[in-house]
Amino acid sequence: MTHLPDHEAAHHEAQDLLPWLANGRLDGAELQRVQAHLATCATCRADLDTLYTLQDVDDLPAPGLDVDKAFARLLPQLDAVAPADAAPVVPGWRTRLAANDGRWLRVAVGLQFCAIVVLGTLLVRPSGDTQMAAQDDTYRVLGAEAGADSIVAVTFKPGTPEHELRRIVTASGAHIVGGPTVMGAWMLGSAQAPADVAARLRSESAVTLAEPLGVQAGP
Amino acid sequence: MERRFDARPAVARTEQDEPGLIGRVAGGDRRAFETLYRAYHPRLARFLQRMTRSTPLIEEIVNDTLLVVWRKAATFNGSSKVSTWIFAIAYRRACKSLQALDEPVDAGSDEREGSEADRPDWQLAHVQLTGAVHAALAQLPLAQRTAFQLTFYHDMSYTEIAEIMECPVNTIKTRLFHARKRLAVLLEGQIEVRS
Repeated sequence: MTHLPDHEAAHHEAQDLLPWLANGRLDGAELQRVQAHLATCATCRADLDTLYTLQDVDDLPAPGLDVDKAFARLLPQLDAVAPADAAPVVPGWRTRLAANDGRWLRVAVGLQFCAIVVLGTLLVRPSGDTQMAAQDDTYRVLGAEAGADSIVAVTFKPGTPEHELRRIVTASGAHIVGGPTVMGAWMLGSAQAPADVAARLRSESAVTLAEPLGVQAGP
Repeated sequence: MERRFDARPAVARTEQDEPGLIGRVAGGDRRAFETLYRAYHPRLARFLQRMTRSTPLIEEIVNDTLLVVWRKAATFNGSSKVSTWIFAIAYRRACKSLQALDEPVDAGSDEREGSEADRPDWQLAHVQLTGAVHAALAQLPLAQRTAFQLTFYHDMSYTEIAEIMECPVNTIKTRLFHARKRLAVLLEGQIEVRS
């Protein structure tokens, strides 16, 4: 292992750290070492001056976005999405009064899931050529089981690895038919009773929500 | 040279209050969320505009980011600054969006560099230093540009930037070093940048 001479090592360190000396975010021993080196190194002093010049160039002006309108567009989504796993940082009465109280929010989210499923079904369902579908009873979407007709919405803990997600879905006797939604929910289809599938899903620690959304008539 | 030698840059005055705001957001406090939203909307928009020129996409990413803040406020554990946490969310969202749009995320795709900036004689006398620097920055790879931007325009430490970009601190230092070298080439004759 080669050891750089002290001055050279200090120079390398200073060169690495000059940007943060320029922006004022260097402190402690690093700041002291770089300052000490600067006192003896004209090259680093010149580089620092250059960085100050670059820093003095104004950043691009913020794009012309209207904060009020942007916030207004976000508001409906706040209504639909509660802070996840909200620890009661604020005392209970404020939490209960909050507009996103989990009790009614679950109902709202469930309704939203239903709407998503209905819209998704309308999209997937063959539009006009029902005769062709009737002629070919064996046709099905890749990954879908024949006769799969119950739908369950499920959400997973953040960070659940993909292989674990697949294992849980397979073990529940279902398969993924849609998602993730804007709220991170997956739609599962199964030939089994939705309540049974949901119960198996709930037994998994990585599952944060499993709600049967009903039974769909098969194609 | 003495200027700002020790001085900390002026950061958002509310920064020290931000963990408290996040706590209130976690409890569903919309007023706290709006305060945070109004503080971060312009900062994030300014940050994102060096990644995409699409104003609707910038707004979408900003809103997506702050919606995540709303949903995940309870998961903020205080191990980093609130700004680091939020910028990291925005950076990941932006990278995902650009990948989904099949826009290059590791090259300076930028309308500025499409015209004069690509020409060898772009250092024309009428190009002001500001324009030249912006054009040069636009030619940096995204990772270098982002590290440079977070350092000089958002006054972040290398630790914070490493956290936002999810890479080792030494990688950030290396990116800044290469960014400076590249800028030295691009701005040769216009600004005294050593490599």
